[in-house]
Amino acid sequence: MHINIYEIIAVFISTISVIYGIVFLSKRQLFNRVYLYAACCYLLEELWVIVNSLFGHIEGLVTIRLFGIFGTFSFFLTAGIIEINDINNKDIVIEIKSLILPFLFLILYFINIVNIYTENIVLGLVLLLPMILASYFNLKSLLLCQKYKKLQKYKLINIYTIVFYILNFIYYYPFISANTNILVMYDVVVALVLFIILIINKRSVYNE
Amino acid sequence: MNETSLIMFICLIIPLSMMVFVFKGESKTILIFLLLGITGCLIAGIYDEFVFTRYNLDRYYLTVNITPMIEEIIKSIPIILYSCIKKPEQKYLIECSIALGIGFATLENFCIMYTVGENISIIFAIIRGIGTGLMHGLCSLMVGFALSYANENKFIILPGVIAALSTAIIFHSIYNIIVQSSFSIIGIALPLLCYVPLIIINNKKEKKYEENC
Repeated sequence: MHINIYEIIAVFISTISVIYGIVFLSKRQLFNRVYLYAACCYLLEELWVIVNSLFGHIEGLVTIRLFGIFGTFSFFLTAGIIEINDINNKDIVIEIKSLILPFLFLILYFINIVNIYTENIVLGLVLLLPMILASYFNLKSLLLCQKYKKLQKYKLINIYTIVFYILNFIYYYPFISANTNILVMYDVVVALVLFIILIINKRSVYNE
Repeated sequence: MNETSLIMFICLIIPLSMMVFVFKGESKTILIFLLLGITGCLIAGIYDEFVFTRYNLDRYYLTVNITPMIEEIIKSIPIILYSCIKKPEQKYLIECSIALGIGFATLENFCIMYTVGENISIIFAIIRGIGTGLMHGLCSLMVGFALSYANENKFIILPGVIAALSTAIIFHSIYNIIVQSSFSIIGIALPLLCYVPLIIINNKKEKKYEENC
């Protein structure tokens, strides 16, 4: 039995962040049921990591974790499409919400990908492309927040997310060929930062 | 997948196929899906064996990392095609997907029982039957459930199915890891723990729907 304690901590913190995010959104009525399915898929992947740490011994490239990523993104995409379909009848807030939440989760996932592909730099770089795209969407979302008064409350979360992407780029390169423990520690930090972002966002929303 | 597996497949599929000519309507379709599930298991087994010998993989690595992917994809093809072509009702699609999963589990159990050979016991057969049957049934159910919703909006078919399929693959892999460990009983209990609440919720929903009607 091999247990990577850092991995377990990272999983634990990121899982709490996801649950917290979902509960927070459901309280604010910014919720689509498909997000819940996405969270379930994410948590199932995290469960896989724990089960593998406790009972299994698979290391290196693990296709199952990739399916966790595909699954969660696909659920988010589905939720986004459903919301865009409804957008004509509802408030513009829906559009913003569909941009913000997926990219919060995206941060977590791309950090996990770095973990998986530490030995494959080319693939790692290719996987960075969606992150660039995500940054673009966050910028677009930020511009919309500036434009509409009622969306001011979402400004902070977008700024934090963009700063976070920049930090990610900075950290990514030196760590790409480093040992896994450093990456897993980094995973812990990322999960913690995400948790803090959610708390700050909650405060900013309630202060409005 | 050796010749014995093929013989088992023939023994199962031929008598069951006879019923196709007798059954009509929904029962016939469900039976066809059961047969497709059995056939899917044979194809997945052949492909698994090919990957195992071709890439010279460790058996544990194969069952945790590759097999769930192969099995879930092959298993889902009939239900995806059926849903896209016929666009059946939600409830009906879910029933067909469960039949597909159970059919798959049936041949898999036969093959595993044969592999275990003389060490086989009735308890093992019961536990294995419940665990594998429910696990495959639940995995197919996830895809069927996603398809039944995706049918309402053609834009979400692709992301919806990929999402559900990925979830099913992860679930299958978790089951395979635990079942091969010394805590195999937890692995068997896992699908049961997911299945029971699902049935309770579904029954409640149906009752509510009937009351509203």
